[in-house]
Amino acid sequence: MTMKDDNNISCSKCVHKKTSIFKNCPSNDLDTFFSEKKQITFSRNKIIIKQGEVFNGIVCIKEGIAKVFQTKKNKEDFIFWFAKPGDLLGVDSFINKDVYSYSVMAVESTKICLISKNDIDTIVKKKPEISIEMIKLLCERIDYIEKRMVSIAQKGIKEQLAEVLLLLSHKSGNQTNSLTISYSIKDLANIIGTTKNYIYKLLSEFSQNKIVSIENRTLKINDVKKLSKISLGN
Amino acid sequence: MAKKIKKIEVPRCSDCEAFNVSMFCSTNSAEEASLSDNKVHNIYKKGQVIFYEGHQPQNLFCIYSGKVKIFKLGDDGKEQIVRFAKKSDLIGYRALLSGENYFASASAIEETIVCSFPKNIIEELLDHNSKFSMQTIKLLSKDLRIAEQMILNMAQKHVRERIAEALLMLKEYYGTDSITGTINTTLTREEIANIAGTSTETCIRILSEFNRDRVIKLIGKRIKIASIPKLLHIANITE
Repeated sequence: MTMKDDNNISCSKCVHKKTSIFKNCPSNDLDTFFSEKKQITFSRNKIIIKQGEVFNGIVCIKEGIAKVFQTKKNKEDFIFWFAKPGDLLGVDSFINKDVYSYSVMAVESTKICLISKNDIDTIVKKKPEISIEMIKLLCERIDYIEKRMVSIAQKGIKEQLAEVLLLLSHKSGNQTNSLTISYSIKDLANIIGTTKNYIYKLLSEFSQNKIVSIENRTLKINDVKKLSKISLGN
Repeated sequence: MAKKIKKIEVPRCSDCEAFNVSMFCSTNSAEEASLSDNKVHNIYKKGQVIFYEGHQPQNLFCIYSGKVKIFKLGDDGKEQIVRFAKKSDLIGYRALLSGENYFASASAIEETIVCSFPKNIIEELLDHNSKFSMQTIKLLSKDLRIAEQMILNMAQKHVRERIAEALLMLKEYYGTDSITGTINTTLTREEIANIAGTSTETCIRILSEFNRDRVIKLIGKRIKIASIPKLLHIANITE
């Protein structure tokens, strides 16, 4: 079940403001412009954005992790990336006001803010400098996808898994190099485009060689150097 | 020995036949004049690199004539083509706009004339012309979706499907010759392999299978699509 939170935190007080595309907007402006903002909590495996639905606003992840993926008939889902707190979704649909090209699902309990279509239009009109930040954000996304594209085209599954694990641990931003596998084995398979069994086999190989250890749904990277080496095919 | 240098002329942007379909169509006359006054043009021979991945961008490039491939290099130096560009397309904008180094390299796949605009002129445009920035967001949104489709195909489609799709994409993008009916670009087999993300050997084998099955016709370096329905079927494109 999804529920609407009553304690709507204003954007000006949000910890993610300083890294978001709204970082250069005066706080008061944000709170006035985003009058229709809704804060919603999604439990694990609930759909936040549905692929093919008409653009309804920009989603800002406040807490939690969500997977961004596309579904095709008769195919496994393909995961483009995992969104973490502070990430924005739907920016690429904002200009054409067309449909969302991907789905977003909570992999753990995830709190989001939905900034409505109208509010986004208002702020872009009144604060044109936002568009530069949107441009930067889109450039970053494309860069990430194209980098992954080269890996998928040229690397073996083992190299890719090593790369993805490093990427995810980097994304979760903690120093200990541990990352929670609330990313399921299936998610790891679907970000690479392989089978669950293969991922399972490779993870046990990594853990046998003490490169990673898996305990209580948490995967910890013990040897970053080795894993980087594997990711480069050495 | 004096080198022979071919002298080429390009018109001012407002007189360019690509102006109205280019990203610059939203500029006013003063902005257009500033673009035209500050641009320089260069001619690139087939294979010549226009910019390198990792280098710092100083200019925005607009293709006046010719064709360009945009590619990234993998860890072992193998090329992966991520996009193509043709007349009136901008290239090198992502790095310039986001203040990063080039994400990919660009090289001419046939003789190409490129106009280049200094960074500060483009930044001024972005700061003062909201139509231009909205168009830029539109362009990037489209690029992102293309990249998403490409990575999805790469991960989920078989190599035969990917090569069929690459040929359809090239036909769609560059069109066909009105007389011979061949796709209007001559790529090497290696380059086609580098779009589909496979080896040159596999690409050659699959192309000759397509040729044998009369799906395509190989005429020297050029390729003619003999049966679009068959190729669509192989590419597994239903929608």
